Amino acid sequence: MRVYLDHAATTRVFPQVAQEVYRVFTENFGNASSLHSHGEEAKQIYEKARLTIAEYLKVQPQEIYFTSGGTESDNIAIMGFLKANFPEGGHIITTQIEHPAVLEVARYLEQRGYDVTYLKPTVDGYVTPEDFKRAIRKNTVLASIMWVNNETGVIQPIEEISKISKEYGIVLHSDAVQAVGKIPIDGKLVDMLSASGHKFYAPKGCGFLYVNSKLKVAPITYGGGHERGLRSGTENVPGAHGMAVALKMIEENFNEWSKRLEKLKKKILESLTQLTDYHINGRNTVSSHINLSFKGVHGEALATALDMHGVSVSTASACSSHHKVSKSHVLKAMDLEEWMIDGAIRISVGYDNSEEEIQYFTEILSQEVKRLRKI
Amino acid sequence: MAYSQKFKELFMYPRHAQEIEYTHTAEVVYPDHGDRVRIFLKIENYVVKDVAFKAIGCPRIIAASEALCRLANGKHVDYVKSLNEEHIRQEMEFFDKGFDCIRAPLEAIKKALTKIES
Repeated sequence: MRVYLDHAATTRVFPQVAQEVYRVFTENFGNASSLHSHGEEAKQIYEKARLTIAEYLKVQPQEIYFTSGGTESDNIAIMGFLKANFPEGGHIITTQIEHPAVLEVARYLEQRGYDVTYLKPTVDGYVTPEDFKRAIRKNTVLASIMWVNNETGVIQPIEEISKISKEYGIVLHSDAVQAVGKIPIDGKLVDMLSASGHKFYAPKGCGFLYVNSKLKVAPITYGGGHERGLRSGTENVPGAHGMAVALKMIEENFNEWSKRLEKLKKKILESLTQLTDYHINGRNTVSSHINLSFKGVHGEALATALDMHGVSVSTASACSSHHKVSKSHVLKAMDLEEWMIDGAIRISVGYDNSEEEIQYFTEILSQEVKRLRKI
Repeated sequence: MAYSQKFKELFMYPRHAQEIEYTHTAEVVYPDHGDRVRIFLKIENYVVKDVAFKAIGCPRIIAASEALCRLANGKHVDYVKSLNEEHIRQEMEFFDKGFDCIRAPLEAIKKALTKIES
């Protein structure tokens, strides 16, 4: 049996989404910027997708910009906002647990003269609103706080941070790549929000950025002036349509699907009671994620052993061919013990997993943890 | 990562991950990797009569330890001392460059054999 439990890395496109995308690829292939009827048909699909996504986030359609994915959305949001409003510098607040798509932008900005505060998470994997408030300075111009952490699945206190940001007049961006499609999102809590299609059962290579219409954001790449000048490049109509169809499906089935996901997660957690000396990394997590470590078992060894039984999970700490060892910056920031960092695996369940698959996984997990501990 | 069938067999079904009566032992730890390996040797008249290992670490350190044990078992200590990373890689059928962790069991066995002069 092959079981895919790495939905945080990417998801299988829903078959209905794939069919719809195929239809657009083959029937509505016109360039959405063309004036002829082929173009107009494509444009209509594209704008309908924008509307669907805006409704999902409870924002206005003109506030949605299509991009190539999470990384581009994060870059446009942070760099584009600073370029348009604070080109001379300022203070930015982010977290130590961001995805590299934000962290590397922050590091680059530091080199360019901006001051950056990286908030440290608690041992349970979330940054606190109190720490956020304490980090605010007179020259704080932007905050970028992820909605859900990609490794642990820990939901960050965006609602409280949003209140504080509004109180102090700080523009708030959130990388919501791991939140969209998993938990209900109120886009209005933040000023900018990034998402990526392939994390919610839509194709790879498409994403979107929500930007509050009151905000001024400058482009960071130049071209034909698509997406109202913010993101040039021929419109990815099949991608945008795929995202809209996927989100619509998730929205319509959310209650049932999220309950089922919760049940699958519970089944995994209950199976752990047969094992000893393990640690669940992170508290208050989304239903899809479980990040856990087994004492005396290296995460990469366990993930590889599971893979050899047909089960795909991921690990954050691994040796690399470049004579370096990469350890999870997220788990390190949480100050977890070494064995928890070295032993961590991330299981991320999806809407397309079955109970039989989870049953098989729990049996193999138990078997392999016991086997590896004997070595 | 794509591993060979031989690698999979070494990693999934190690025969030498067991307790034995030993005369020599040594441990090597790569703390940065989270890797730890201990080699146990039973040596009689300069011959490895039995060999075993205990390891916590990545798949490669487990497979390399098992590969080393298979190469060393029943051999003269001079031969064991002559083993190098290339021998281990051949036995593992693992040729990706880098991955220092493969050297850990080799270092451990050589450390265990340092007091034996042949």
